[in-house]
Amino acid sequence: MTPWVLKKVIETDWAEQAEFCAACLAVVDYVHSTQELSHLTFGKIRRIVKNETKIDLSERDLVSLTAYLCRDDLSVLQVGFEFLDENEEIFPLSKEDISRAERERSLPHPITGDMIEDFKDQILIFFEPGERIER
Amino acid sequence: MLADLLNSISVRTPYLVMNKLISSKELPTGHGYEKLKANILALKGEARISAEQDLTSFYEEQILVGEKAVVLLNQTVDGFRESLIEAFRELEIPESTPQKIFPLYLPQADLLSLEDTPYLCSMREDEQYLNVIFSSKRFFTERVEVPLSDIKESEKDDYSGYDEIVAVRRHYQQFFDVVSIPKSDSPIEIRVDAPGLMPKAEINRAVEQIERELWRLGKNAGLETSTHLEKVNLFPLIDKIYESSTGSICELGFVTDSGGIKTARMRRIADDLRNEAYHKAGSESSEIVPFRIGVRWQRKMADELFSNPELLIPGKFQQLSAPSKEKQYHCAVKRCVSLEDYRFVLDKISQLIN
Repeated sequence: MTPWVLKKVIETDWAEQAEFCAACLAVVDYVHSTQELSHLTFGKIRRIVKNETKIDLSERDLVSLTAYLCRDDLSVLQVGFEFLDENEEIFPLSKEDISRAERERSLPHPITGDMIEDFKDQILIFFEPGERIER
Repeated sequence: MLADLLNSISVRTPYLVMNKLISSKELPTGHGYEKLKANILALKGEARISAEQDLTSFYEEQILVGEKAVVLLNQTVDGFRESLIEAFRELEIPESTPQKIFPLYLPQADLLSLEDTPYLCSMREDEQYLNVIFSSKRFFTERVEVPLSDIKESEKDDYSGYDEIVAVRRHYQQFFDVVSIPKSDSPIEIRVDAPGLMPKAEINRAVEQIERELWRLGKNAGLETSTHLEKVNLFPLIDKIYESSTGSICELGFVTDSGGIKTARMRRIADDLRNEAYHKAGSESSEIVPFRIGVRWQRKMADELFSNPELLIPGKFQQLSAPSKEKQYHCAVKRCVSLEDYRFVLDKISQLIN
């Protein structure tokens, strides 16, 4: 999908919600125009939107925006996961790791191999440009 | 035996390192160490025998090179290394509790009854090295909250102004430390177990303890002096690694001309700080002087399976304040799946030293 087509799809999808549409387009512009971009956090996305549109997204809208831009047919962003241990060491997690942890309700610690039941607080979510993004 | 072996592996080997071995040998996987152990123990017949062989070799290598702090020693007198090898070849390994159960770990009760000095456990010789392996008992302290309800009724008034009482408890752990004496013209290596983020002072203490024991045993075997060796200063390697293209820099501590003290880390295994946009721009506009560096490599084990050995030279910014302080005698070599991984890292060090 070219940037132009992508923008048209977003404008059509959110024709009745101008602010949300502008927020999505601000993120799309940023992802398209930034070189060597590999790690966006929720905090960064909120700042991109605020800097470009002056819109201060609510927590709920921020989550909705990322979920929308991660959709398979748009693939502007893709979600990634990391585990942060007690020594602040970061370990990448695959989607399979997360699915299994949710299924079994526990995640093995990457170093000790002990099972962590309340693992969700130790998982960090980030976003990277989707595979079909042209820059 | 297989159960004991798996327990000892889980004590010392990072789960992510064990998983690489599991994948490369196509052994049963598990979700966490407990399930992994259960799935391997469920193997029968040939598959079980083969798994035990693979895991034994892996574990023996982990004792030699897994999660170590390493000090390199150069001989200052020709032939001293050979004398050392001769002296140790003559040495009888005294009977002791750790030696009897080696290479496995001792139960906690047996560990607590041991002296604090290292115990010689084994000597492994191959074509290139004589490895002298010690078992050491060292302690960590942990802070534990004492529930206010545990305070005796008669003493409660004394603690009425306290919201929280914290006690410091000693936690003993067994370590395997290795002195590896090469038969070629390379430095002698002291490798002490250094799991997690072991403080520098504890590593120094562990190295000194092993050195003392080495010379005590050497003296018994007829060696006269320990002054024929000098530690290799690894501090100059920090600059050399940063300026080279070896591996991917995953951690860098540096100071800037404008007074900044910075620490930067890269999240992903293959990402190299040298190529990060922010770091590149910053280091082009201001001179930086590194004092700490972490570098890791990708080594192919099989299709889409890589080991990621890491080297950390953990200098501190204050070491840059005087030339006499630019001394760093240990580095950490971590996440090695095999002896080859470790040798790969040491070869990189050796190339940069030379």
